[in-house]
Amino acid sequence: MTLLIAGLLGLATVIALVGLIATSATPAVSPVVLSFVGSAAGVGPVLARVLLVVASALVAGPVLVGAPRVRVVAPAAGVAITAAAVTAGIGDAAWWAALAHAALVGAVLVLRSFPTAGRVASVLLTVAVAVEIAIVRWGAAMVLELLAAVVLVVALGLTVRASRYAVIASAAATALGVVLLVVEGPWTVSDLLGGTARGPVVLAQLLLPLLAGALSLAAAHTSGAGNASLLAPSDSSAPSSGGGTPATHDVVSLASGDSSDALPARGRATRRRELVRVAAGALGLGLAAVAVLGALPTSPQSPEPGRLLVRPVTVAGQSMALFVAPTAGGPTLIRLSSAPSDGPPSHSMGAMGGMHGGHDMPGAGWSIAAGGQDATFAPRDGAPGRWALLDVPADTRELTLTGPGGTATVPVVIGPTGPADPAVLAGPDGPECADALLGDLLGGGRGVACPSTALSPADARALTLAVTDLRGRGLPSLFLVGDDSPRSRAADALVRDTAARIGLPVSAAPTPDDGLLVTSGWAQARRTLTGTTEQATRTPTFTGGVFLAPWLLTSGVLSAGASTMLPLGFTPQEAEPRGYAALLTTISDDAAPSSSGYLAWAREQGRPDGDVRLFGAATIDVMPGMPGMNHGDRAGAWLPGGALVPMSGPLS
Amino acid sequence: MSGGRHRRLLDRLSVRAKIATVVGALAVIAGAVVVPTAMTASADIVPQRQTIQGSDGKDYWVENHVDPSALKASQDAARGIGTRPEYLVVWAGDENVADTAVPQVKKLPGSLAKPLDTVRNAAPGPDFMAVIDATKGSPTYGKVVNTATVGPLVENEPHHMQYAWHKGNKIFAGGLFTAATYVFDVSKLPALGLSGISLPTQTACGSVPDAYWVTKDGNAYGTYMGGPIAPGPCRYTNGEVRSGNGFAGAPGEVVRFDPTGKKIVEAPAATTTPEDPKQCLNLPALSNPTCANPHGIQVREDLRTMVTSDYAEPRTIILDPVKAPSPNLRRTTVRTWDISDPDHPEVRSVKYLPVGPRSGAEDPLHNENRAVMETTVTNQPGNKGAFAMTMQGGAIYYTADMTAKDPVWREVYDLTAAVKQIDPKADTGSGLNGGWLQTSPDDKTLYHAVMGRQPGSLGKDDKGTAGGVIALDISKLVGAGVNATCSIETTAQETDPGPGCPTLRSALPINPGETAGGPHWGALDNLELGQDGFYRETENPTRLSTANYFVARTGLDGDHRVCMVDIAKDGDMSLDRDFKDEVTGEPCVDFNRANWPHGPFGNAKPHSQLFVTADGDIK
Repeated sequence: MTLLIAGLLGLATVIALVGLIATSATPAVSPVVLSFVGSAAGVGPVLARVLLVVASALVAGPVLVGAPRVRVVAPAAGVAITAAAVTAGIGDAAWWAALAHAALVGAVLVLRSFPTAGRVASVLLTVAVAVEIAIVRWGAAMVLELLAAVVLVVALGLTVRASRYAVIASAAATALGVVLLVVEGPWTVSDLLGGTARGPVVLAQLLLPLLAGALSLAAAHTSGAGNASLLAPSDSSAPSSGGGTPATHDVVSLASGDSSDALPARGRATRRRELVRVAAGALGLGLAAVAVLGALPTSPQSPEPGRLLVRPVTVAGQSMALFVAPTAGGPTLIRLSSAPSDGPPSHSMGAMGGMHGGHDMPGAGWSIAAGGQDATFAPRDGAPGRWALLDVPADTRELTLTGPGGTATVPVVIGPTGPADPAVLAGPDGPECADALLGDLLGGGRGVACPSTALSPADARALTLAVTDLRGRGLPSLFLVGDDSPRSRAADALVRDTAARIGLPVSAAPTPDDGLLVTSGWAQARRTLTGTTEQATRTPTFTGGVFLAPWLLTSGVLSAGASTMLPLGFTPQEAEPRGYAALLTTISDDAAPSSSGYLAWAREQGRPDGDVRLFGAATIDVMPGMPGMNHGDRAGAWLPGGALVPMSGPLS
Repeated sequence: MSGGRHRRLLDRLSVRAKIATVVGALAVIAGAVVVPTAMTASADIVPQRQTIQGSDGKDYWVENHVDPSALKASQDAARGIGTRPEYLVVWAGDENVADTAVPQVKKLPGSLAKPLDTVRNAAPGPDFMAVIDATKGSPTYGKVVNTATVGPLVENEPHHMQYAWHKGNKIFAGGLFTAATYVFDVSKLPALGLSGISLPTQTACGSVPDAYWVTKDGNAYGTYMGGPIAPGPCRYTNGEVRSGNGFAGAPGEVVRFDPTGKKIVEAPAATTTPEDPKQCLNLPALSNPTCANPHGIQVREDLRTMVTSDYAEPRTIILDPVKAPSPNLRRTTVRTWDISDPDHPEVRSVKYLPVGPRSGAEDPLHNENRAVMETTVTNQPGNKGAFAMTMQGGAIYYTADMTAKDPVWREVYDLTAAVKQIDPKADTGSGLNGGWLQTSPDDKTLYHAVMGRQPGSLGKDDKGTAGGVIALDISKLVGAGVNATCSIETTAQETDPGPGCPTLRSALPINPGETAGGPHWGALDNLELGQDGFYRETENPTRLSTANYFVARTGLDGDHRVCMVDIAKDGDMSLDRDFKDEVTGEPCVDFNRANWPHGPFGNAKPHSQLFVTADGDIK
């Protein structure tokens, strides 16, 4: 019979696993992104879920292990059926599924007097509970949670039956909990101990079965006169003989009320009952913890030397994303995303000189600190969000974020910064470098060099082709604006060389008929475009057109120009770049994709460079004065409220 | 375990226990089986994709998601009431940037409420043509029978189509942000085909497509509001050269397409000589200033004349958070074109609409002549008039002879005269944000949709107004022919235009009480069912449709509804409450909904619509 039950349970578990695996897709995204994703379920649905699974477990477990008369089964069945109705009523579950679950609970209740039928039904209910817990997960976590749920139900049943096998089952549950912790994290002590919501819950699902096992062991130790061995034969006249009261008195199941023992054993029985109750309670809570895990985001990224750290942070109820550049100590670039209450990003304004990519930056008053050093967040020209440059001491283990209403800490690690040059990260091209590191991280890479440290072959080709094409379109002359970065100097030299070859004059000082080509970084580009746009309202300025280097594709730059053109080796409108841009919005609402970030991600994904085409960009409003009519400010758009369209075929 | 023991075990189970066990097993199977909720399109919708190649060598498609049960119900219903189906085809844009198409987690007892959404690793939702049952009297009136999504371009920002569909026409539909013109084949409604697509590289001398007019030969003219995609000189098809200030700037153009979307001609809207630099601001400045940003377009082929209305440079340039852009970026001009050679349209006249009695230096943005969004022509042979309306100005203008070399445009109606019928609290038609403007086929009525005015538009004390649709009796005005004398020149005429001027026949508020909540666009139902059971064109439409398109200021669900308006014999308009949303049961079809035949892509923005039937149902 035991074999039959075990076989049925195993078979049902395998079927459930296969079904789950076949029908659940593992999101093909970085674990970093998943740490920002939590269920939208409120407290009510989660509570209903917990009640449902724990109550169902208290029905299935005892019947499964041959203790159907445990008094808790009937009331637990009532709670489970009620919880099923509630979950359907609040829209957390489909009515048909809730009815099916309730019917299954009822079947166990009705059939519990029939050993085989009752056990079969309880096996099925056990698997149903396990599936319901595990179904919100995928991959290894799904398998582990399913197994943990099955083991916890069995352990719960064995515990209320006061079986000595309860210790083994509890130990198995603990072991699964450890594996779950290793596989799914959190992996830092601070995250485990309260830095994240997930940490304490993971600890609970691991420690509570351990406690239950210890209590069951203690309960077993208090049983049986003169025999405290864990391996003493269990009560063989348990309900497998057809139900009814146990024939012997060593088995004292919960609330069985069997008090026919002789007076000296009554005290031991009472103590044992108490220990068993507490153990069962611990297991119930452990099962609840496993159930709640599905409502929580996955563990946040652990800091690693040389990698961008991207962590969700919550301060005074506001959830944001914190990006910490790789640091070897010293000036460290950190970005804080806008809080949801700050409103949408304001990149669609071509501000006049000196103004940033948005006026009166929302969310002022945030700072970051470590080891007595602190820095305030502020906007940066051409870049989204707000930035701080913090001088991080070499022995720093965590950063403290402070804002209106509270603080949060984030673990960091000091070490080699990998390919990214810390001096560049700390300089004006830092935000672009951070964005490239983000794209690389999301693509599964291990770090990239900062884009401004060298002119890539792809960018060199794009610039050469673009300049040649523009000459062919009749561009009379060109004026260049760059900066001191190695990339810009190389680009400047390349463009001059190309222009000389094709007979395109490069002006030493700007003239109205010139085309303007900007090869600087984001900040300088935004300032240049802002000034040019303003000047063009007063006098013909760069009537030949305004052109940008490919790495200047980001809304913080584009929105500063009236309309601009740039050569790109990919089409931002296509599914993949759009998907990448949309992916960023999972992390923060003020996400602004850039070509540097996208290309770093694409390279990790193995995407080849495409043909170079010339694109035109302009923000468009055909219903001025009617907010939201056409564009609004869409997070994740390559150019919010604007058009970015190919103006040419492949350049050659 | 041996077979014998098996039999003994089974024998020991009572029949009741066996049944209960089976029931229990079925219950858990039902409870445990995951039912995919991804793509919660009905299980029986089979997407049908038709793909063509664009000029860039890439594939472009339309994918139909005909709901067979909705289609059958619609066809059965039509047969039941003895008619053939008529549809409303709506060009709509997906609202959300980060819709996901990742399979969702399923709902089970105890599983967490919302699916594990928000892993946004998929492209945004597609834009689409919604095909809605518009068969009057049908029990499935208002049901979405098909959504035909377009791809691979997303976030097209669907805008306008042609103003009316006629048998055999393709539908030309523009995307503002992609600068693409789609050409749809509707001969086999409710399914749509894709006959062609024009890409921005094919119309290099213009950008930001707006509206279309299909001529009798099946070709179409389209207005491209914005300038050449590259600044500087641009050579048009017939050799003209004009200089522009770049993508989405100026000058715009008119493009003629064939029914496959192939460009026949790009024609410059700007003249060779500079236009008024005071009234025609360009950013950046042009050496030849121009107001040429054509938005509305209508044609009289018999008069060999096309009329376009200039609206504004579509590019957004906000120079200062405090200072608004110059009002002179919003145009006051109307152009007439000679289309004697349909493939060589030439600007015949550029006229600056006159200011009106409300106009003043204190608020030039709301001068009556400001921002000429739309134009409409008379239709009957012998009538040569044309109308234009101003979005910021809140006025309607008329020329009695669009064929004249130097047509005279006069203000003939101030919306101040009608606004109280839309919103009793309103006291001026200034800034009413009017859009759609359309003459009835018999030239007796002029229909106009107004969105209404946002609070604060006219100053801090301005409480704004609601919007709606108005119908003006223009029979006297048009009937006077070239002798029409109506001209709004005095303050009194703002509310009482005077003899010979249009009069208000009917006004229907839409979303009364909601400021700026009225419709932007509309379409007359130019089809009627004949005695022979087939549809044919009518000169007396008995209904029109409106598209409401605005986003609530709270950021919550806005009004993205398509409504049907009945027109009684006396011209009175009333909301057709039978045209209901299949989800909410409320009047009007709500495009704010979770699920479409093409998937759970959420809210959409309906921008324009047409009444259409399948080829086999119209003669």
